[in-house]
Amino acid sequence: MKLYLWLRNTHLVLGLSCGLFLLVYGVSAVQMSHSGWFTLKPTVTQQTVEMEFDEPRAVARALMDRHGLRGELAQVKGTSFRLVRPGTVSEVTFDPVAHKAVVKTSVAGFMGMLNRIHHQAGMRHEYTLLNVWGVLVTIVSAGLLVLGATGLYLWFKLRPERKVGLVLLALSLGFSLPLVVSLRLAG
Amino acid sequence: MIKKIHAYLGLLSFSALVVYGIAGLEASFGGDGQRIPQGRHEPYTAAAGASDREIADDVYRRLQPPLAAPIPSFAIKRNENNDLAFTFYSVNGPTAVTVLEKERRLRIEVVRNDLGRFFGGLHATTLGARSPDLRITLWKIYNEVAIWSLVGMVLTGAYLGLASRPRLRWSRYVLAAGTLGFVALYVVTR
Repeated sequence: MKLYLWLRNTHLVLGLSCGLFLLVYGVSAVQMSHSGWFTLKPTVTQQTVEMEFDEPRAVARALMDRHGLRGELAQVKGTSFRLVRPGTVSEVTFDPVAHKAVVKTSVAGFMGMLNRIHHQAGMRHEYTLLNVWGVLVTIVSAGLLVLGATGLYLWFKLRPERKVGLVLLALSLGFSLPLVVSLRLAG
Repeated sequence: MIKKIHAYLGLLSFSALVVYGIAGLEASFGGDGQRIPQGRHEPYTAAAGASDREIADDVYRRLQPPLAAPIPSFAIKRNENNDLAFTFYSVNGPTAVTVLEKERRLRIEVVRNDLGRFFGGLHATTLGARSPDLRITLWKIYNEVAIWSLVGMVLTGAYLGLASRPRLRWSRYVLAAGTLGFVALYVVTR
């Protein structure tokens, strides 16, 4: 009984604390699976600013300090780069001779933001917020595995549901496991 | 009833949920996840009057890369040597092909994903995937069921956590903490 209570509470705590994260993953997965159902067109704005620096990192720093741009520096190519954070991408092109920088910023709508959050991962980013998302992705992913394992145990303890559940589980595993193995061996 | 639905959805999509969990951990901790490309050459003569699109389709028919779809037009490119180059993607890894027209051969580089990346690829194989392989079609259907099941499980789980155990007040605090944490991070990131 103690084990049951402990596992039930673990399932409950993990499920409720990760619930919104999992819902976001589920809804954004629906969006990716049915891309025609949603419009992900971002809002795009453009501005030209004075820029005395002639190196990408210095220009990025100046844009962050003076114009409030935020994010991780990416795709640095000569006189252009991007500042990226989930849902917002600033494409910067600067002219060291004319001392100008053109900043084109695309801001995703709600579904676009969920899509970007879904793709956020890793904990070695320059931008701290991305690392925070990365930590949460790790916790939620591990949580999902624990939820699955504890859920299996909790279901098994529900005696009246064993027969139907066993049929469903057998269907699920019987369908998916050979499929996964076959896909892996496909070459 | 809600409890039954919650449990049944979980059992029905159990394998996919495990795949999602592994894919998330792989995204967090995985390296580049690919082994060194296995390169080889094959004789190939491009038809004189064929377009790049037709050559890409011809190479696809000839190589029949397992689980991969034909190359979409936007992915047909020419490299720095002006050779036609494109990549067939599958859950097991990419197959990069360069058409060396002057040498009358293909350069084929096959990269094998490790297991972590394989699961990552599986979790991303949704109805939008275009492979003609029946196994991919079956997995897409299972994945679709699992995605909706996940949404259903979260909603029924939240109801069960809050409504079926009113004495467990802490469960509400946990839900509030998780929700507020997400919303706060969303707002700050925005």
